[in-house]
Amino acid sequence: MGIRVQNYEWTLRGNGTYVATDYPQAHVQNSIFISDFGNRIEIPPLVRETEFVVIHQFGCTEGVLAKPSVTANRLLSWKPNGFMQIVINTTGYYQDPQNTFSGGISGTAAPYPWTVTDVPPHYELLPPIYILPEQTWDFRFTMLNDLRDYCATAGITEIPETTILAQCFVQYHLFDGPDALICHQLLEMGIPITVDNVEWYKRILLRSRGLDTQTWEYYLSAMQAYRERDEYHEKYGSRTRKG
Amino acid sequence: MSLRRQAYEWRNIVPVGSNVSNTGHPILTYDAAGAVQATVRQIDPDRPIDIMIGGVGNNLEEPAELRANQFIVIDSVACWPISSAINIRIGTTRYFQDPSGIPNAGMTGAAMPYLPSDATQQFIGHYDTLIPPIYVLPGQAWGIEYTATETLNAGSPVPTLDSQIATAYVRYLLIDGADMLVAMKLLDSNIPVSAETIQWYKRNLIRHSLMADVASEESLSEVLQDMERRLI
Repeated sequence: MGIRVQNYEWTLRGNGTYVATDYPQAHVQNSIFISDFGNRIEIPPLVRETEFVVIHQFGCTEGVLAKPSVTANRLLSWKPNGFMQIVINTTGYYQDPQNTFSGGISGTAAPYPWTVTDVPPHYELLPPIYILPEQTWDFRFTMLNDLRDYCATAGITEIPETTILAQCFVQYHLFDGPDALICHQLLEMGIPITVDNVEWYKRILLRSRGLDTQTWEYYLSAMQAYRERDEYHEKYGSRTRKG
Repeated sequence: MSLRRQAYEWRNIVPVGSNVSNTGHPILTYDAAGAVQATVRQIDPDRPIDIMIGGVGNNLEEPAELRANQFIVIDSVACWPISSAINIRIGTTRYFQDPSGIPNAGMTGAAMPYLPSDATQQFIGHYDTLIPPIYVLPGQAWGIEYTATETLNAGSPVPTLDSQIATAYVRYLLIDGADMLVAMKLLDSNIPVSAETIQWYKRNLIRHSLMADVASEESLSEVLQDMERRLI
């Protein structure tokens, strides 16, 4: 299983009897993988030596106003007013126009879930993000509607488990084993890393039948072949190399 | 991370008693009845507001200006409600103008809507992307101006729906570092600057470098083949 499309969904649900510390503070970034809120994994995402990750899609609960729905001090619905930021090692991907670390992309721009009445999301992660071996990566979710303050003000005593307070979703391609090596080769040649391109490169490798592929000529012919293929797709409008 | 897809979003919602939040989007608090403790600021018609430093809604602390190693390609803008418009300013020049050549309010929300989740009408809009996109070069200042075509949120009320919040959105490709140099090279050659063309150019650079290496290897072999070998 060299190439796999992976999904990760993070859901912040009610936890029964209300305890403030069970829920994130407003305007604080929390990892959707390893924070104390919602579902979590044990180990922070780390791309191993034999892996290569290409993140190409994500989203979170849309909506600005919380529009809380309460019955008998039980909170039944809530919109988080959320933003998502991607962090690779210690670097934030999103920055605002004054070049400072920002909250990221809102759920309005990149909604999840995406319902039948929604128009296509405004935000697309193009070009996708490559995470190389030995790099750690994370998605941080920021909630700007102050849930803790509201629960204290409204005297909320319970948030049932059926109440979904926020959701995030990440989709990425995981290349491992020989396919990860091919990703590195493509990266060296400046070719976009997509499933289609990795498969294409493998076909070239199979055609070479064990000949020495580390020569400059080989690189050159591979790049020439990619160029011809690219021109063919441009010409006949059947481009498939987009991630 | 030299090619990054960025987005900036502006809303005219701020905590009660203030006009602006200079630290980005504000925290929204609610009263016991679930009403937000914030107002959507009134926007007078035909008065452009800079969405980054205009003094209304979430703002930045300093204007947007590209550093010497940055290049951006703005390829999508959108706004809400449909009775608003958005224009792009680079330096002191507005992008959208009337047929008479005079800068106007810009692209309307009906043409490029930034739909809230509770909009009653699902506008699709005429555009998703700006073709051709807009380049902002190193060192240039830029901004986005939001103009209402009628009074919005008269009396600065407390909103009950997302669709009552005026919003603006801009999406752009931030190119920095070595890729900025490639972008400038493409610009000099009048080749469209995009993530794809930058990667294409880099592939060509690598290919040409390889060709040069191969050629020099071959010419070296030619030179060496006529030379007498000697033991060292």
